[in-house]
Amino acid sequence: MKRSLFTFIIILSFYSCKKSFFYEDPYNSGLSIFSSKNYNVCSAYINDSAWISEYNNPSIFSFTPNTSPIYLSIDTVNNPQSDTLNIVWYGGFKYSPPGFVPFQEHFYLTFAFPVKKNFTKTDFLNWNGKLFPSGTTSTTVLFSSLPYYYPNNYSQMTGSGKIYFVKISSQPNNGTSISGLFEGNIGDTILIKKGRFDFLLDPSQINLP
Amino acid sequence: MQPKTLFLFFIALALSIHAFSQQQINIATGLSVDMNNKGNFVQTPVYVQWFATNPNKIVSFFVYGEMFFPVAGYSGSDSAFSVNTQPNAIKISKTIYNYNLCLGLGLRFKTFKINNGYLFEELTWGLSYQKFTVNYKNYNSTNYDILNPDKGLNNGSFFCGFNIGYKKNNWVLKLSAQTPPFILRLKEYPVSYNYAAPLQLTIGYGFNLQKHKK
Repeated sequence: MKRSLFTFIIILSFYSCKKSFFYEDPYNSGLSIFSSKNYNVCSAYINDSAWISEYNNPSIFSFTPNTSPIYLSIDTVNNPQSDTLNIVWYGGFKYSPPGFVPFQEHFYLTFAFPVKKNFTKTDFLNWNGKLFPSGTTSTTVLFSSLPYYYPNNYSQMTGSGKIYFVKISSQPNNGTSISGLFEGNIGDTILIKKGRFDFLLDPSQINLP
Repeated sequence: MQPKTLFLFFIALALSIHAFSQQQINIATGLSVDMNNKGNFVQTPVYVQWFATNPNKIVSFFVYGEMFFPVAGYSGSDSAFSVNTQPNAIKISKTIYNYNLCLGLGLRFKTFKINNGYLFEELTWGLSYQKFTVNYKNYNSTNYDILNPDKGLNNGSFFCGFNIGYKKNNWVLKLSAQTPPFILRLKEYPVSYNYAAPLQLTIGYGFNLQKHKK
């Protein structure tokens, strides 16, 4: 009995071992530093309150894997001319800004880009050092209480933004490092400033051919 | 560990020592380079050493205090980026200064007589408190964000050291090496520098104090 309990605890402790490292930016209180060291963290001021990425931890008894704070995916169905690349973060406020309506304190933040058909991981790696919007590539920002791909996602708000992929590189074991900056707005009611991200994506978090 | 704690420790230690023969205070200064940061930090040390017993014995015990002042900071640069300002990527200069405060104990071993003076070695151990300050020049923090920014750190812990020197009359020439403070940096802010391990060359003079009668 004791051995079974011990084994269970060991298995539970490896249950999403990916670690994130939060070091507060000395120049932007409440936000993580802007880094390129695979710290697996994203943060931004949303209406002047610090919003930070986090793992969506289900109940300890649900035996459901933790939801990653980030994933990349291609949406191929909505447009016959092009596909849409989505970068999705999940996170929350420590203190919600006053009057911040949307959903709860925790929600999904998505940056969406139109990309060519058959957009691959190699095409994404070539975005190293690029800032969007650029040329014909616009950038859409979405807030949602559910991942963007859920049908009838009523709790969704759309705006525009900018994102700068400062560094994108391949890593051993098929990993991809991404780090960069972003900002955006949804009308005049929601303002995103000083956004930064630094992640090491494993193949399960980047759904690109 | 805070400087106040170090100072109180030093006072308590000094008061606990009962002198029973000739005492001597050595004051020295010189130049120090840091071995733990590729010599990037150059400092001027000011060193006060108190021998409660005759320092010319084969083995003598002392306590000491030392302050290191930066001669020149370490100059480097970091990259900064902006989403909304041109140019989107720039280089920003930075200067890092290092200050140290050390309080410790030691043993001096007198070895060879040379030319009316003598060679000696010293073993030291004590507490070291180090402070780093980081200054970024012309940094527009509103529009730019520094990638992997540096930050000043303050911390202290135990250290040990080894010195070799030559004493003639009351003049002392000494070469000293010291470990960085033993600090676990598991969750510390990721900076580009290490805690300093000074290698210093100093010259000083010993002032004989009055004998105590007991």
